[in-house]
Amino acid sequence: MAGSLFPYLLLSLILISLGLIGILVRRNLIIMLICIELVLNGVSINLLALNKFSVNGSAMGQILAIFIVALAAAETTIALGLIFLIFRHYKEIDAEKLTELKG
Amino acid sequence: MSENIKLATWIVLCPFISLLLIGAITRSYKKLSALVAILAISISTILATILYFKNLYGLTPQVHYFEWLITDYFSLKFGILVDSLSIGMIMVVCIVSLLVHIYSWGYMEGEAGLSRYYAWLSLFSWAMLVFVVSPTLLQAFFGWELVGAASFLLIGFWYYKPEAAQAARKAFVMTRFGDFGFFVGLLILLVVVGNVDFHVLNKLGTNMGVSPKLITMTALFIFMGIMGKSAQFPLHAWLPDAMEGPTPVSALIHAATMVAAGIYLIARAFGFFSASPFAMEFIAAVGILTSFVAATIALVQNDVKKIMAYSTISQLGLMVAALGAGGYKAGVFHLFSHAFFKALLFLCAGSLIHHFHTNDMWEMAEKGGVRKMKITITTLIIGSLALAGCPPFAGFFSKDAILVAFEMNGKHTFMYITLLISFLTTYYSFRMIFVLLSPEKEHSHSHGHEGDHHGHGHDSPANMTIPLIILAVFSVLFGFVDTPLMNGYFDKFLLNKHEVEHLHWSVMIKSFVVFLAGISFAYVQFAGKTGYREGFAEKIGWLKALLVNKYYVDDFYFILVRGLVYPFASILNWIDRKVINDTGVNGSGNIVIFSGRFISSLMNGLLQRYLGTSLVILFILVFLWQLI
Repeated sequence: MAGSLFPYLLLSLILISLGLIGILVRRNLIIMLICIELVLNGVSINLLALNKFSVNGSAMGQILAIFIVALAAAETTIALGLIFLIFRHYKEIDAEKLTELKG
Repeated sequence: MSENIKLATWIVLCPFISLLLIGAITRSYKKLSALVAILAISISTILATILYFKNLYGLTPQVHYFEWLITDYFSLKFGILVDSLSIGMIMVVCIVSLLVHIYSWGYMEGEAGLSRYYAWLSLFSWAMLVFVVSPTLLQAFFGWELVGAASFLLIGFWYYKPEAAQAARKAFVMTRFGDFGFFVGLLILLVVVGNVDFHVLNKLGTNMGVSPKLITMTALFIFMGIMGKSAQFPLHAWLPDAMEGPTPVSALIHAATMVAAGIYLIARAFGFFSASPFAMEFIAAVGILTSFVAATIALVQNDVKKIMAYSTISQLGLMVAALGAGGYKAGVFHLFSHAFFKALLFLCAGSLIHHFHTNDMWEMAEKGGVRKMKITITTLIIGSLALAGCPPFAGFFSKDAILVAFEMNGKHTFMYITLLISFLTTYYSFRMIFVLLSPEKEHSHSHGHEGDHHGHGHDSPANMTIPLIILAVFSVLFGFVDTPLMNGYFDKFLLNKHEVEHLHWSVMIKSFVVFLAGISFAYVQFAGKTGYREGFAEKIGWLKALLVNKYYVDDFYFILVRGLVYPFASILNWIDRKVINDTGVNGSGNIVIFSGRFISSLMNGLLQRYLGTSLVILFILVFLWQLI
C-alpha cells in the first residue's frame, strides 16, 4: 500500500485532458481516434486507482476497466471502418472539410 | 304513424325533394326545373286537400316525434304536429305557393336563373311547411331561419342590381336582429324548462311552477323575433325594401306566408303568451302602432308594390294587435283571409308591372291601357275591396272579427283606432285604383313607347291570369266560413266550438260606414282626373315630409349604423388585423421561423465545434451541480 492516490489521479487527468485537447484541436480523423483512446485509457487508470484506494476493497473499478478495454477495441474497429469508408467516398479524412450534415 | 301524420310528412317532403332534384339534376334545364317544382307543390297541395277533407270539422291534435338529441336534462325533438291550426295554415301555404309557382312560369319567362328561382321557391315552401307542422319551439326556430334564408335568396334574386342586393342584406340583418331575441328566449326556455314543446309551453302559466316574470321576459324575447319576421315597428323597415325581389316572391313570401309566420307563432304558442298579461299588452300596443304607422305611410306611396308592402305591414299589425288583445280566432282568421287577398293584390301588381315595365302607378296611368287588362284590373278591384273590408268580401268578415275581438276584450280605443286604420286602408287602396283607372289622354301615344303602346290591348298570359281568378274567388268567398250562412264553420273547425255566433251588426255597420267614407273620399279626390297627384296627406307640408320620409325610421337606422355600428366594427376590424392576425397568428409563426433559422445556423457540420460545445455545456452542468 505504498504511495497515495494523488499521482494516479494527476496522471489520468493529464491523459484525459491531452485526449480532449487532441480531439478538439486536430483535424485528422485518425489522430482524433487515437486521442479518444487516450481519454479512455485515462479513464481506466482513474477507475483502477480509485478502486485500489477505496475503503471496502470491491473489484468494481477493475471490472469496469476491463469493460472499457473491450469497448475501446470494438469502438476502434468500427471507427476505423467508418473512417476507411469516409476516405473511400470523399478521398478525405479532414474533419473540417466533412461538413455534409450542415443545417 | 297515423294517416294524418303520414300525409303531413309527405306534404312537407315534396318541395324538399324538388329542391334536391333541381339542385342535382335539372339545374341546366330551366323549363324542366320549373315543371319539377310545380309538380312537387301540386302534389303537396293535393295531399293537403286530402288531409283537410279528412278532418273537415277539426280534430284532436296528433303529433309524431323523431327524437334527435337526448340528454339527461332535455331532449330535442323534431316532429310533425297536425291540428286544426296547422292544417289550415298548410292549406293556405300550399294553395298560395302553388298559384305563385304557376304564375311565375309566365312572369319570369326567359329569365336566366329560372332553375335557381324555382329551387329557392321549393326551399321556401319546404321551410315554411317545416315551420308550420313543428310541434316544438326549436323546430319552429329552424324553419323560421330557413324561411329567412330563402327570403334573402329570393329578394336578392337579381343580385346584380345593387338595390336588390342591398335590400336582401337589409332584410337579412334586420330579421336576424329580431331572431337574436328569439334565440335568447328559446335558450332561456331550454335551460329553465328543459322542454320546448308547444303543448308544454302553452301550459307554463298554469301549473309548472315557473315564475311569471320569467314567462314575461321570454315572451318578450320571442316577440322580438316576431317583430323582425312579421315586420312590426320599428323592425318593419326591411319589408318595403324587400319589394326589390320578383313580384311573385313578394306575393308568396312578403305578403301571404313568411311574414305571417310571426302571427302563426303567436297563435301556436297562444297559451304561453297569454300567461303574461304584460307581454300581451305590449304585443297589442306594438301591433296597433305598426298598423297605424304603416297605413299612414302608404298614403303617399307612388309605387304599387310599396303601397301593398305598407298595407301588408299594416294588416300584420292588426293581426298582432288582435292576438295581443286575446282574439285568437280573429287573428288566425285575418291571417288566412289576408293571405289570399294580399297574394292576389301582389300578383295583380305583378301583372301590371309585367305589362308596363314600371312600378309607378302614375306612369302606368299615363301609358294607358289599364282598362283593357280586364282580368287584372277586375281582380285588383276585388282584392282591394277585400283589403278595404267591403262586405261581403273576405276582408270584411275577418276585420270584423278583429273589431269584435277588441270590443269583447274591452279595448274600445283599439277598436276606434282600427276603424281609423280601415278608413286609411280604403283610402289608399282606392287612391291606387282610381289613379290606375284615370281616363287616358287623347295624345298619350304620341310620345315614346310607340310600339309598346299598340300592344296594350291584351291582358297578361293565361298562366298569370288563372291564378288571379282563383285567388279572387277565394277573396270573395272565404269570409263566409265564419258566418251563420255556413253555420259558423270556422269556429267549428278551429276551436271545435259548436254554438253558432250571431253577427255583430253594430260593428259591421260601423266598419261599412268607414269603408264608404274611405272610398268616397278617394273618389272625390282622384276619380276621373288625369295626372292629379295630391291627396289630402300631401297637402299638409309637415305631414307629407313625415310620411314621405317614413317617419325617419330609415334615417334613424342609417345614423345608428354610420355613427355607432361602423366605428365599433372598424375598431374590431383593427383589433382583428393588428392584434389577432399580425401579432397572434403571424407572430407565433414568425417566432418559429426565426428560432428555426437560428438553430439551423448552429448546425454547421463541423465535428469539433459540436464536441467543443458539448464539453463546455457538460462543464457548466457539472459546475452548476457542484453549486447545488
